Amino acid sequence: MSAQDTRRRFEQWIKNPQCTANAVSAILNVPMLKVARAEGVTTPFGQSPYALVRGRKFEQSIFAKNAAVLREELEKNDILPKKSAGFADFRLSNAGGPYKRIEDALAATSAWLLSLKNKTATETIASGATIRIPGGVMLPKATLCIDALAIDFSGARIHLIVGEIKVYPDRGGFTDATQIATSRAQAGMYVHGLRLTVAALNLEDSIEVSDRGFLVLSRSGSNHIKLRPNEDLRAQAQRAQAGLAQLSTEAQTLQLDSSMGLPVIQKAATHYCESCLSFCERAEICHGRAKTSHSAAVLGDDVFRALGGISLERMKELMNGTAQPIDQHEREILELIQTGQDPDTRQDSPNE
Amino acid sequence: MSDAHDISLRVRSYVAGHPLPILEKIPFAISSMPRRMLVAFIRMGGESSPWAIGWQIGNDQPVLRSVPEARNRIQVSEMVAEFGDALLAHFKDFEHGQPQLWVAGPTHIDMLHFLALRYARARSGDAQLIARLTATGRLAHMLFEASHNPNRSLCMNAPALLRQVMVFPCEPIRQHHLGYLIGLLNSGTFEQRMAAAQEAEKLAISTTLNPDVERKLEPLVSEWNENKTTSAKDPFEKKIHTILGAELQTRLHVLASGIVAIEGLGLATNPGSSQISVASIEALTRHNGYDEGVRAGGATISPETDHDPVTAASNFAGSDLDLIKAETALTHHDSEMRNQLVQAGSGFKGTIVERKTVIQLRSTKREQLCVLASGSCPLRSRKGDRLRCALDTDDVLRWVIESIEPMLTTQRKIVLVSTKAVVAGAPPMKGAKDVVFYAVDDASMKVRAMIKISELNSSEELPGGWLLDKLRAGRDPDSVVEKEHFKGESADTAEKLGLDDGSR
Repeated sequence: MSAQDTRRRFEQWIKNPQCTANAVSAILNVPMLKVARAEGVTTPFGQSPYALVRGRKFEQSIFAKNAAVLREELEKNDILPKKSAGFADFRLSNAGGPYKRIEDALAATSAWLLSLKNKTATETIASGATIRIPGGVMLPKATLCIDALAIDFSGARIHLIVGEIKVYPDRGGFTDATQIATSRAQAGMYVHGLRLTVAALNLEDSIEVSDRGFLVLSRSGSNHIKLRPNEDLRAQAQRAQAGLAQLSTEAQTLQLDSSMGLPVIQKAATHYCESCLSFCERAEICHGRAKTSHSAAVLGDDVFRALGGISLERMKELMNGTAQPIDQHEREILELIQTGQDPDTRQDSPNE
Repeated sequence: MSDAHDISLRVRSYVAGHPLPILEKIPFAISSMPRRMLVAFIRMGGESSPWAIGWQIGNDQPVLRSVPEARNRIQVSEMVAEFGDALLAHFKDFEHGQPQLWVAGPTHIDMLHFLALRYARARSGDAQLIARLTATGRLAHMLFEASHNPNRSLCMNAPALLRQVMVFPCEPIRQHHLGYLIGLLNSGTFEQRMAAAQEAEKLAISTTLNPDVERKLEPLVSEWNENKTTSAKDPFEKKIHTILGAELQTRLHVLASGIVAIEGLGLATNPGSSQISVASIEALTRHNGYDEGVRAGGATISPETDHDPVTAASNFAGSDLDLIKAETALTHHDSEMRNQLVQAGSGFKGTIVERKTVIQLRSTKREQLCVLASGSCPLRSRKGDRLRCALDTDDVLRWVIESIEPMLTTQRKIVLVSTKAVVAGAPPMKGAKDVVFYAVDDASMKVRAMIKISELNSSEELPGGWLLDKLRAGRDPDSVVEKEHFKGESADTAEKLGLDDGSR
């Protein structure tokens, strides 16, 4: 994970905000893989090398020839007017762009945003626009690289429309819901970051970041693109705003500084849940601990929530009759497990 | 199944220390060995086309096919066509028993959809190859849809079927791994079962490879690409095939173990599943007719969209009807399914406290029952609703609710009248306890809905029809929707993308 890839660290944290170790790892930017390896985990992790190459090539092809392919789709879907022109490229050289350092991309993006106001810039598509969330809400830096931006000059104010590029195929209603949700969450984060940047540059009078964005996916078994227009990103932008504020508070509460490393994460409290399996390399260690402590989390998040702190060992005792419920909560949970019905939804008087 | 019921079952299974059956009988028929086709796919990271395909029919030796470069469209399409030939041949013959396709998880089902999207409407290329590929795409589409249809037993997702019958003491997210479920079904203590499951979980059985295996393949694929002569490429191709072949073998082996595990559960097969088999064969017959129609120049059903509201409404009503048919066929023969309906409020369980013959409309004899039912479960049935009785042997009789009366105790007094005369001595008799009366949606209403839909002359008559009315009327060739529809194979777009590998 890049030190400056704030978005990924934020997404890591938000997958399990209840886990202090996860929060510390995200704030200090120490990958969990490093912690897991130090704790003896040998299971293979990492991204597919082919997927990375494919993603890069797909993105490069979309922006080739002044983003001709993307432009065609944006015009078809009325996101840009017909015969639009101009392409601003802020990508780094390793992604096929002109900038060698992220600082250069940052400066160029800021200059370009300012020139949009002055009407000296007229590009309708931008790729790799790089922004830094003002305020330093996370250690050490908060930098975002936006896959694609469509710029609409038709209104009184200039509209920036955020686009997120993903290489997985669009299968209509069968497209993986988690993948779609993640893509929208990323785009929402960019909307929020861009709004902060626009505000910091005093451009709010002339530039508006649209609530609507677009996703660029692939077509099954081919390299053709499939554009999903009009993605409503309002809720996702709010989520990013609230999440970043919460993470910032957490960073202050935990009193961390960037010199701290592995030992702090190892000592921090953990909270195992199902989503850990999808992103955290320490998941199996935490699962083992949950099993040893008879935590209901090993049966899933829904069981953990339903049992409300009652351990599976205690549940066993209650069900085997070797112990009696000590309070109303235990009585209700025992009833739920024995009858398979939520006491709240059960009806003591028949309805007619 | 309600959330509370599901949670309760998982905790009970944990307390028991092993998986527990949640149904009395297996709700699907497993075809005879020669009629089973086991399939496993492998894809390269980031790609949606297969890199390798393995299949095994009955006890035959598995066929393992792979291509050295998954991004080479021609090689992949030739491999898919070969697999398609075997698949088509397997599903062509249903006179020797119902054919089935078995897969080891949802990603393999997704691959069927990918094949449908990629090939069902392929147009450019060698005519013979295209004919084989499009037929494969069409069948893959039908099988993909069948995998979501409870009234079809054509495409069997082994872990999903195991979860349908058993409850496992673990997180739902882990239950998609067939090996994990098999591990928990092993004999031994809970800890031993869990250890076996965790060991099995380390094996990747989805369509993607573990990153370390991909990293092992990466230099071989690069070498294969860099070498220009067949003789120089050959050794790398063999090495790639060896690795991918072993991965396919693993998946097929786990899948075969999964079927053995289902058969070894010791549960009888629900007799109602034979009706599902009949419906499956009917669906296959319809597909073959459609396939012949396409070969004769007819239109191909889009694997992407219904395109217009009439088709969408018809398909929706059809899948609803299939759901009802499957429920109807299975519930009557499975006491656990009926209990689940009672818990969900779609029926009740009680004691017959009175039974008498009543005369309706001068001389029509009907049987009247008074049932004292528990009031602890919710009840959605109302006066006038028609219920089935679990004790009705041929599941023809219906019981109409005449009244529901709350009692002072937590019970209900429910009076029901039969829709037909009942033979004296036929169940349920007075005094019978725990008799279940349950409601399953009426299929005839759905059939009527489908007839109504088919009678519609214009899409305008359906909600949302106006959206596509202009398109249907004019077929504007420049419209975005039209272009989207026929875009799939546009050669110039591929060129613009600069990603064309020159294989087309």
